[in-house]
Amino acid sequence: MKDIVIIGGGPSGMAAAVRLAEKGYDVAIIERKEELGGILDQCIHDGFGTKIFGVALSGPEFAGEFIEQVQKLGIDVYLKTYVKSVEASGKVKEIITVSPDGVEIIKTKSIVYAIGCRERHQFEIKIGGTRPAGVYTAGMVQRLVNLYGILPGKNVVIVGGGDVGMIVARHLYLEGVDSILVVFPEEFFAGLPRNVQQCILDFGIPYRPRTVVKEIVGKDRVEGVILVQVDEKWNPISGTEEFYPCDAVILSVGLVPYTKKLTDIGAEIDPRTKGPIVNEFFETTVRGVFAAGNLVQIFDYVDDAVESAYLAAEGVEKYLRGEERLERPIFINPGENVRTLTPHRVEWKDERPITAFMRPAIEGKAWIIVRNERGEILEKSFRRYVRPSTLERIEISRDILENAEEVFIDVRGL
Amino acid sequence: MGLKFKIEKVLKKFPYNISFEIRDNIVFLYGEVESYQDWVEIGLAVGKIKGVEGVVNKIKWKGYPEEKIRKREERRRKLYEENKDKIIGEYDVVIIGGGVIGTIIARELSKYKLKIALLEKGSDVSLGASKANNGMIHPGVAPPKNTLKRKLNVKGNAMYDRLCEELGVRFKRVGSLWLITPRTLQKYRKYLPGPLYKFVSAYVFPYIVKLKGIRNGVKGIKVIRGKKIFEYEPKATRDAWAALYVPSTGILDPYELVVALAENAQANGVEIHLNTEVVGFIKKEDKVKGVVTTKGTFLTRYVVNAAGVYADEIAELAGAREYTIHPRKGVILLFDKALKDWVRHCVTELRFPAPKHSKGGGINPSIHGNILWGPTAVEIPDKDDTSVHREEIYEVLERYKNILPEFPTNKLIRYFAGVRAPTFTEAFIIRPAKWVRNFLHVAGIQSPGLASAPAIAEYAIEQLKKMGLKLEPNPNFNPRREPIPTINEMSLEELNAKIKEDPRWGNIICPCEMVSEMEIVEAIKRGAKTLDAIKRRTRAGMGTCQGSYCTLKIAEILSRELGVPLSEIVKENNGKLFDGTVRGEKL
Amino acid sequence: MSEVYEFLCIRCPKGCRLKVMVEEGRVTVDGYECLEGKKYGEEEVKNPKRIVTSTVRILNAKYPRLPVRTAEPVPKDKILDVINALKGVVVKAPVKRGQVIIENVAETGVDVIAERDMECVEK
Repeated sequence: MKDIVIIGGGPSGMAAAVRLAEKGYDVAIIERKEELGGILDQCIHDGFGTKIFGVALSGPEFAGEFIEQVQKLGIDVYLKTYVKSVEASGKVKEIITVSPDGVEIIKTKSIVYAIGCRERHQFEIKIGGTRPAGVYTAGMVQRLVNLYGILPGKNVVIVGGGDVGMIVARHLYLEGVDSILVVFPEEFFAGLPRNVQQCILDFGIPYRPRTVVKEIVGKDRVEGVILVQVDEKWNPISGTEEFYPCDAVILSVGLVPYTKKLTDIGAEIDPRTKGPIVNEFFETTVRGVFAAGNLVQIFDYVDDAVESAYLAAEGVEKYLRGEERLERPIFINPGENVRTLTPHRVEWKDERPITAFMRPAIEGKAWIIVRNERGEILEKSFRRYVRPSTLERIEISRDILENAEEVFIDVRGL
Repeated sequence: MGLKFKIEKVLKKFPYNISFEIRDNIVFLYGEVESYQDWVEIGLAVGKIKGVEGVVNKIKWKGYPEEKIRKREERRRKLYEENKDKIIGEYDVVIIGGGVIGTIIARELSKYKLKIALLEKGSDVSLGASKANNGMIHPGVAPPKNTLKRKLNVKGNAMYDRLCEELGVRFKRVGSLWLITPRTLQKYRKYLPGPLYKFVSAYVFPYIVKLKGIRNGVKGIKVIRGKKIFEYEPKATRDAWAALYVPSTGILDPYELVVALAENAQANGVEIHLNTEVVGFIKKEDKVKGVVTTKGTFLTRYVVNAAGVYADEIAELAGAREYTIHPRKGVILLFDKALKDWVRHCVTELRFPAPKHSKGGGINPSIHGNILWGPTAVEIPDKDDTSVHREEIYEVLERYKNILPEFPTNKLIRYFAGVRAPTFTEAFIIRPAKWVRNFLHVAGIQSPGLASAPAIAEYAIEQLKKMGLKLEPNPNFNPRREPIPTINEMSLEELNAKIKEDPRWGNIICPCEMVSEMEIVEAIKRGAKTLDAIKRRTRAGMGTCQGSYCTLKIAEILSRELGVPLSEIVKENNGKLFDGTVRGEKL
Repeated sequence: MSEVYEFLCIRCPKGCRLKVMVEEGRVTVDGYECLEGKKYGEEEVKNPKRIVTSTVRILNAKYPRLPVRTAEPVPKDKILDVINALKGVVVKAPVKRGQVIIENVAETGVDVIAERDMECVEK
């Protein structure tokens, strides 16, 4: 029997595995693909690892660092292995896997899910029109271009002003498409400023804010889109429809934690993050089952995802050592101007401050406040600039939680 | 009263100068109208007249795409000239159209010693209405009595158990549950004061429906009331007063059926020609001698026209124009499998009178565990218009929300539209052409066409027999077809054994639906050449992520198995998935 | 004569909004939160540089493309020259991460290196 099985061999999964293997635990990683690294193999641009390694690496390089450690530590790795089902309710957990080697049942004391997220697709944002060839998610296009050297089309409309959309725009520009237009409903690009600079502005790639794709036109292959302008609430302004000819539509309209496998074992989901409800060590509502990385919530940087994996690794240790839990959990709730907040509750006895990740709903100078249900401020910290596109990392002191049943986190603009 | 007089009387109701002629009870309409809607209304009004056996609506509406039609005709003529002398072979029967009707007739005919070709213009079978419906096998309560539709619906429904068993097609008789709520008889509320309204709704109306069902020959209909309704359908709206339960309603995956029919027909000797579009006919006197296609000419003794929405144009090419199809689009929403426990039956809320031209659709489970909402019914001028507008999505959500008020509609994962092929008489037209002796119409097959299909095939073959086709049993006919093994439905032992046979059974390509590499390879071996053909045969790409993870992997397998570069792989018909390589480099 | 430029700092994910003033050859930077940002602002007006990432063709490997990048940032106006220099380049697996694929690409004095290991697979 394993001490820990990690499901998902991307950066978060590998980080948790390495941390635990270093401490002498018997760890295995189950990975669906034929190699470790998760989504990073297609993210060939630079900018990964500035927080962890202090230098800007490319995705494959960042993954490479962890793959080397996994190999050095001799961690068991099951590649091309699909998790069919998991029985997680008892102390001994059973994972049924399917791989080209056959069906296998792996027994373990604990599990860390690190299976990442999926991309939102055209039907989730209700794009109308036809359903021809030539409509893809940005991640798929990254894979297509960077691993296979194939272009999705020649005249491309990119939907979404997030980081992935901008990065794909730059790649396509450099790799030889004829034209690109980026459209997004916000007033300005939602992604990181540095990507706006080095992916869009550097090359003068055209973009239209406050614009969305209303319909896709074309029978067998995309022939164009109907663009429409939107107001501040993203409602289409009628009469502003415009046919724009193109042969490919690339959607970069958000990522969603891929929680199907977690709901299968009965873990509860937070409707805000769309990831599992977790405690301060990223344990889900199923005892001994932890979650890490983009499965928990969408992180802006792989560095933060890796940090969540380290927290989960600590949680696993506590669980395996049978450390004491609080008599009842203390809930950490999103308050004013908070879009998402992780973790959701504090359950373990510990001394160290709690690391939380919060996405604000407002932009500008702000105080981040921890308060109780009576509105008494327990702790606060100042931020020069917050914005919804940047996830804030906060530390909450444990001593302020004593005697509290629940606390709230507010963001108050100045 | 003569037909001519009746038609004149009907046309007088419209503010237009419409002329007409009658030939063997077929009415040809001419003139000009303001809107497409008027074009439809006039056609329908004439089609309703007793004694009219077909309406050919040559009226032009404002915005009639004259230029587009002229170009299409020009293209057809050119292709006809290019291909008419290229003889492909001689056949006893040529079937035009690879939908459920074409393939089921092909399969039924393969029971006899005949040389048969089925021609399909698309890159796969089942690309028309057959792929874009809700897969419901209707019980036969709805069609009016004394119609062919009623007879074939009830009979066809009963034939499904055996057919699906033979073909290895998933089929389940889930039953229908038709809710009667305070909204059912809304239009009559003013005539039924106070408690009378509820009494009539809950205690009188259900029995009227039941009686209609019994008279149509539908068995086992039950009227239920109160708590019992929620034992049948726990999440149904609490304000339901009564419900009709019809046990014979079934569900299946319509393209799974069509693919199975095509495979079985092929195994029994039928030639299936894909990417083969009919562009004209070679005729001698009042008989078709050859069917000219984009691939060449198929000489034949009999022609079956099962061309769906194009049946009228095919008939016209053969000189057998007896009807006009007025395309009617139906939008369907598809929800994630995670919601599979939300509905057990094909549920709808009865409305009387029913919304125009449709039984109103409803909510039903798919055989794979998704939930379907729809379809709508919208008259559209373009037969190929399967677009779904955002307003239509909201319209469907609005229309059925009363049935399951708590349903999490945010788990919508896809929407699509199919185009039905009604004629103006709104009847199934299954008869020999009036002016072409060896040409059989199987046209106007709209809902409940799928439910009726097995009976339609039998009926069509009776017609062919009457037309002189000799039917000698094929001693080698094998009714059975083995489906592609589905690893998602196997026990662990079965799956393990399969993987030991070939490790590709254990290589998962589509994680949402758990589809293995070998299932995809098997689909390709059976003739799938496009991404969508694989999707329909294996479900790869049909899950929560809608192919964003597996599309590329499937394309790679297709490329390898077909020996075609990845950049040339096609989604459907002529739609290439990708275009070109990085900086034009070689791969 | 003075000129004012506005940049988004790309040195770290924070993306500080820099205001860079050039006055008679003297550069002053405002809006940075760390010295890296100040340096970036100065460089961005004097000699803006970028890391260029792309792919080259690879034979006998699991995928047909190998991700590569410039080992150091190159002048911004050389980006397209670097990209053009990658055109037609073919390497053979195996390749090691960090291996030099093109030396001194486009006369920038910077090498293009492989971003990952790529094993040789028999095809």
